[in-house]
Amino acid sequence: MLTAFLRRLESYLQLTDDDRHALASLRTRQRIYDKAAVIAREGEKLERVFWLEEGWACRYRRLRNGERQIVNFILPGEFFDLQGLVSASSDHTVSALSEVKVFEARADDFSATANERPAILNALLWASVVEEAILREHIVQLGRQPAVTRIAFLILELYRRQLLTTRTHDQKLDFPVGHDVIADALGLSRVHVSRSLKTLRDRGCIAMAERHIKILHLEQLEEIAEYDERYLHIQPLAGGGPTLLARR
Amino acid sequence: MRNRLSQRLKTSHLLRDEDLQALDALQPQVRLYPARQTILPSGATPATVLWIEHGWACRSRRLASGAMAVFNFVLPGEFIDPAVVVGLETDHAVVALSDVRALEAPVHALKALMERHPRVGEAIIYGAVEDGARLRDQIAHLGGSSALQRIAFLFHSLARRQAAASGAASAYLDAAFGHDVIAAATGLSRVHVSRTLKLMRDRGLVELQQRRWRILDAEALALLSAGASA
Repeated sequence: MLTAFLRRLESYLQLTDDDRHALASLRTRQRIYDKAAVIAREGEKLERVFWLEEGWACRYRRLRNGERQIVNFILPGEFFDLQGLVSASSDHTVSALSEVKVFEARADDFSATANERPAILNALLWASVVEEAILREHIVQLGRQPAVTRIAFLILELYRRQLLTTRTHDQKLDFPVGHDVIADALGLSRVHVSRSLKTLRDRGCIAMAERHIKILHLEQLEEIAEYDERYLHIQPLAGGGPTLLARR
Repeated sequence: MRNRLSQRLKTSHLLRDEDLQALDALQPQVRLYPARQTILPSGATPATVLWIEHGWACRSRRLASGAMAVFNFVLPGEFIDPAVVVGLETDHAVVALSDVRALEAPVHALKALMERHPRVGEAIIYGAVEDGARLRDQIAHLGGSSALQRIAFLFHSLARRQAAASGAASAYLDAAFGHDVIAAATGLSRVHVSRTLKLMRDRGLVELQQRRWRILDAEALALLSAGASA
């Protein structure tokens, strides 16, 4: 029942059967949210932690001019609102971008499990370090990079994040969202997004289909994106585990 | 004596006396870095973890265009790079902004401590969660803000962060970073930064005084930076 979640943690470290059992026996509640539903609201005091099992969600802030700034996406297997662990208030709103399946646990239960199991605590720390790295890259993209570079970068990042749970190198990114969402994440107008996607298509880097983006020319896309994926900290497991970086 | 790391982690309110004593007993080595020196390069997997006792550093990366991007600052009590704690390769460089005095301990010693004192691990996660909130703030401010709002936000957030780290509000930032760092941190050109800083001096908001930034009107800075997001 925690498939995506466990797969993502295990892309970083090997959990023991006891660790897996401890996570599986957490009292969790499964919830389904419709597209556009609010999962956690800005300013809400959190006493739960969540992870996403299916679908896409995003964190956003509402700007004073009424626009929405998406600060990050949440993909299957990813945690969100670890603020719950420290009973902090959410500094952003989390909303569903497609229909999503979410698990939630009480923060104190979760914290007790993590405190008993160093591997789980370590995996949590890893998840929060990676989240920081993703946010830092977003800052570089917004502040510095032209539209086509930003979009190429976003496609590559989301594909790599998806790989952590699917482990399928088919160069196909699930993309259940529209141009408006890309615009809100990258600080671009919709027209600008459409034009930049067209540039990437015309150069033979990507093809777009209903709810999917197919990466046709990975190296070229990486070049346009100035992509160095070290920041995502996707590394082969110690002891010669399967490498997620292997390319077909 | 209590080191800045244990002071900083203490602000999470998660730690008990025995956790703090264990942190203070780490017996770290002192490391000194002059201003502008790289403390930790990108692509490193050091066996030791560093944190700042005194001075400031920044996180930066050179873009393919040659431009420098600064996306965060490191203040006393903070890890030079928390990725090192979980054994990851560093993905950016950390450079001293002022003379920095840092303390260094073996990663394995800190990890062994976290196994015995899991609340320390939780407090480190708490720090990362706080940092995440700051980065999200920064993203929201890049979205729809003027140059004045961006720079006001930078000073406002650094002053608050310094106050949180040191436990005391101060009118001075303990670092004399230049226009180049402000440009790299806000994504503005240096010309634009210089023009905006002149405006801010004229309006009595901030000024550079004896190689330190002085906050003249914290309230106005707070208002300006709040103007960028609801």
